[in-house]
Amino acid sequence: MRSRKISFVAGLAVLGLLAGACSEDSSSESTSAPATEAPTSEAPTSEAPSTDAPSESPLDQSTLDTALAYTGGTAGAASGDPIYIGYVNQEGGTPAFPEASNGARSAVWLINNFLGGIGGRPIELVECFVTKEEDGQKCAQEMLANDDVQVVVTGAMFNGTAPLLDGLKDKKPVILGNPTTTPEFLATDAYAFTPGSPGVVQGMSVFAANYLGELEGKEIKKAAVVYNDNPAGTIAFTALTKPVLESLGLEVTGVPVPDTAGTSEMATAIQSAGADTADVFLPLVTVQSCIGIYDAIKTLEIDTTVVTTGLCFGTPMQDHMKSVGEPGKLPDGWYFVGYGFSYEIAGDPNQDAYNDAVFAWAETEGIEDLEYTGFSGPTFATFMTVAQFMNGGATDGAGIRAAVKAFAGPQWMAAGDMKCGANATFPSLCGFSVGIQKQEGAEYVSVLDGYNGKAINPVAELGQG
Amino acid sequence: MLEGLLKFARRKPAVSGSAIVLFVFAILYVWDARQLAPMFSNVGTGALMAAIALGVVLTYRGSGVVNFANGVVTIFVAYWYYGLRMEGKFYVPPLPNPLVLIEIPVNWFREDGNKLDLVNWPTVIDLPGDRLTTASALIVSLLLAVLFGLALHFLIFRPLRNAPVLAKVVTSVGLFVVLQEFLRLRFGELARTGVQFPLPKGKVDLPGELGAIPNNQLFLVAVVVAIAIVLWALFRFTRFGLATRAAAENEKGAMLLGFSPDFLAGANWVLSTVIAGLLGILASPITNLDTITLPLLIVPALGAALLAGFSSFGVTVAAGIGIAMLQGWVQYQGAQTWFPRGVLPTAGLTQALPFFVIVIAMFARGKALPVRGAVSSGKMPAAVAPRHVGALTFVAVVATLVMLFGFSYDWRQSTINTLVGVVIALSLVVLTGFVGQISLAQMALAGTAGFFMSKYFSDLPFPLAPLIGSVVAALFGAAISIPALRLRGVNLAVITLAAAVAIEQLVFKNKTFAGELGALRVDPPMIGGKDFGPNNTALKVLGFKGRDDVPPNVWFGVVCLVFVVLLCLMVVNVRRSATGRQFLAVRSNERAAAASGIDVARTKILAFGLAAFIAGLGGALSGYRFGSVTPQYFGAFASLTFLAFAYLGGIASVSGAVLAGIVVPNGLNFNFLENILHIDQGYATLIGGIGLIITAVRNPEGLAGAPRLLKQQKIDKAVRKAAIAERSKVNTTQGEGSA
Repeated sequence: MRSRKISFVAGLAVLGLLAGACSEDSSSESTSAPATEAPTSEAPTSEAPSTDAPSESPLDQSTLDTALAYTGGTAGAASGDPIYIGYVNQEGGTPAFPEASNGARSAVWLINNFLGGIGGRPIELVECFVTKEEDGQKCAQEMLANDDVQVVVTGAMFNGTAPLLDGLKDKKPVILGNPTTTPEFLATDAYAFTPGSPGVVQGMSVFAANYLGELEGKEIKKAAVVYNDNPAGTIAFTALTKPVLESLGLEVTGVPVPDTAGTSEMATAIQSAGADTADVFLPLVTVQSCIGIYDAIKTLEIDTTVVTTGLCFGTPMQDHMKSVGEPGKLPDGWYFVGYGFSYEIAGDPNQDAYNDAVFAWAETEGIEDLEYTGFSGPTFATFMTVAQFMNGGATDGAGIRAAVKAFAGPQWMAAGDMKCGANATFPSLCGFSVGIQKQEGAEYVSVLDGYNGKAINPVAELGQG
Repeated sequence: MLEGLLKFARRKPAVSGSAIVLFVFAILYVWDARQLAPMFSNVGTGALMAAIALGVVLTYRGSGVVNFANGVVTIFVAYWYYGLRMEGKFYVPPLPNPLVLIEIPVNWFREDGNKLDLVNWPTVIDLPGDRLTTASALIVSLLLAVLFGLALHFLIFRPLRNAPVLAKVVTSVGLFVVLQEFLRLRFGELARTGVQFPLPKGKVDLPGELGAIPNNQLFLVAVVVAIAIVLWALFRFTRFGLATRAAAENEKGAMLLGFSPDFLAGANWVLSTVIAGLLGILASPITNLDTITLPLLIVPALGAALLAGFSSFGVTVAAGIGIAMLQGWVQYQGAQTWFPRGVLPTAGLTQALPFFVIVIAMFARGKALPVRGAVSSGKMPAAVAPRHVGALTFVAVVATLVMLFGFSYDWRQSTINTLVGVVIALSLVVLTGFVGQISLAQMALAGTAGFFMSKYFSDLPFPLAPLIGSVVAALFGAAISIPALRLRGVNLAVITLAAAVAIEQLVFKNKTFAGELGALRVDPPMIGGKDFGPNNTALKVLGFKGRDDVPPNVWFGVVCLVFVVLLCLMVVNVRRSATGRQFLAVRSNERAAAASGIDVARTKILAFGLAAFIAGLGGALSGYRFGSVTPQYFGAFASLTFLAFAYLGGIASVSGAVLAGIVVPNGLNFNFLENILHIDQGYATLIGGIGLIITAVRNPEGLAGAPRLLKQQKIDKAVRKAAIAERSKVNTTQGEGSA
């Protein structure tokens, strides 16, 4: 009996001691996340900005000139009391978009160290991460409880947008980095300078129906779609793809797949969707699923024209291409629809400045395998625009709202016109133009985008709003 | 003729089964040959399911444990391989760090930025060189799997060999939670792609429009079939196999014949982990590695094991691959224009398919699992009649009001989370603690109330809406109790887990029912025309409001508190009443209960219905709390986690439910860990899972029963001491007499 008692007490002690496991030596973990993994979730804490100006600038002068001109800042490092900006992103679960935080942090680093911060004061992020729907409420509470936070910026979220936006509505404005869910599209006190899913996903459909036939020299009558079975994926298919394609005269077959589906499940889904006999195949999936799509297509030797989103354009995909011996960074012959410009094509000053800044930041932080694609660039761009507003004197919620409504672009790294609140269907979205590029052999080339001034505006073409 | 065929089918089940399958295939081919193609391209997933099912069969035959964690075990070993092969690292499980006992008190008195940070355990060990080769990573991973299997047996399940079924089930659920949390903490939840293993490339083209089978998937099928053949030979022709079969039939008999059940159990645990781990590694290039979907492959694997009667390796493999092929077929049909997607979600139907397989298997077989003649069946946790109810209620109410009105928003929120947790834990106290019915679907039932309330009853006044929603949950609960009339113990756990997945996939993720946003909105409760919702921080009642304007609104917490008090008192009264005594009688021995005049079926249906009603109120309150209901919150994982925490708190008492509410995720204990001990909340579920395993092994009455257990130990000790004293006194007297 004594031993039983001792064991029980020992058990409780083990529980207590186990608690200490949380203080594990994180320094022993590699700072370079493998290309195909997300960093483990971080506690939602404030992050002190690094305001030590490097003695020798790691950035090109053109980057500094472009960024200073855009944000209206003054060259040099910021100092003094920080200005706090709330930042909410989806990380730590599936799906997760940790790359958006790379964009946010690199933008703050650039602004604080080289662009004079906001009126000379550094930005400090108050971070909160969601993995599931309910976390949105917690983040809203945290942002409301912090009186220093006047505006909240989101990275990319598939979950938690409704409680977050409901909780903050009319209290603190939200700037949406990458709107992908219906509550974001319909929000009345949230604003997006990127076209999000309404632009990109509808852009895919408009491109497939109206432009692809001529480019590929074939008639496009039948489309197969595989989409992730999550709120953003479902809305992308049921509201932004199927009705659009059908209204443009295409026959559509869609199959949902879990966020975590591998090659085996993808092969089944692709066959079920009839991609092998379709004229165009549209995968509406995250980058991990995209790799499974590519492998399944290769394994089944399906010959079809693939049009997908910029989400498939991630470094995990590029690493996978390398590992399977593809000549290019991305699958040959695939079309990619994104926000207007590309990480892989030089020529746009804003895009080039982003590429320079994000790698310089990664080097400073000791990050080796940086995920700089996906939602990273648009989130970076959103912060640059927020800095522009704040440098213009809009440092509180009311000021930010006024600045947003007066904003007519151009938006950093985005193509097309910008007018907030002008679209009745998607009131929170300020612009809808998207760009299309293609992988041709080893080359990644511009098709219809900001580089050649042919970016398409699907909302305008469809007569929405 | 028909009689003759039936006789033949009974005599030659394998031949007749194969003939039926071929016949069905022929019909499908003639109907639409293309529909067969997706079936053949999913056999790789089927091979993995079959391997997990083989592991389940082995552990059941060897030790009587249905290992719900075998899906996680599979990917656990595969992640080890991933670390060694892809990163050149060995991932170290979270280990207890004694130095934290110094850090925590010191840091209470230190400012941020000046915290004491002593030496910590490493999270990974970098191996010399770059990365291991495929062969060496495979060998090391499988050796680790052997050690892992031994550890599971000796540290966890061997001490439970005489424990009741409930303890074994919750322990394997605890193992599920712990392993999954470990993987989540170390690897994140994002799927790992690009795992390298040299699987064969290319495909085998099938005739006509049947499509093709990728060679890598064919290879997996070949491996799992080969394993099944080896296992069959091992169990058919070796002494070890014969002994295991003997022990599976009758453990006591095997012991009398000189076999060691411990050795047999340990060996089968090792075989199970190695087989599951091997297929996990081999399949990782085509399934990816993730901590969410793959662990739930246990559900179809259980279906396959059930179809095989937890006995035949061949049928297990065929059933595993068959279920995966059937899922491929369902997915194809779901994409066709005739398919009623509005009523049946395609993805959901694919995931829920194993539930129907399990139901059919259980009903078809009559008794699902062969009864195992264990040495001892163990005792259920004591369900002691509550005492000092009034005083305890008063203290708890005052403490809760202090938390709500006196503390900041995060404490208010965690108090409300605790109150909701208490309600759901109470439902498990009624069903599992009082009646002994193991349900792994309580969160699904809770969600049913939340979803129905939001969808159909949102216009009704409060509290009518949550009450009617809970009645719907009670009806679902009563429906689940129908199989419970024939099943008990682990069989019931299996079917309720499958039901949880089916409800999540077919109801909560049904776009027609639950919308396309992945969440249904829940409007705030209106009482007397006032918004008592969590966001209305301006609400004043009797002139009182919260201390600040940050949600949640304190008065919403008061509403939750009223529900909790009423439900606690109701459960206390149930325990004290004749109904409660009938519950306990059924829990103790159904046959004896029936012999004494208790209607066992009625009692079970009542318990299921009542428990589901209580859970439903928890689900409704949860909906009000977040302003929405979501499939994830009420999913199968949540049901497993809640059972774990309810058992940890004390599954057989109201005070146990209160303690469970305190320790549930995001409850008061979580906030305490984060804000007072500065421990990342991410570790709390892991700690809870380990606590559950320790509790199940050492103290089946949970935290609430600990004082009683210690008191009982003191009494036992005193009695023993008195007996020894008495004996020595007698001896002395006898000695004096003889002298």
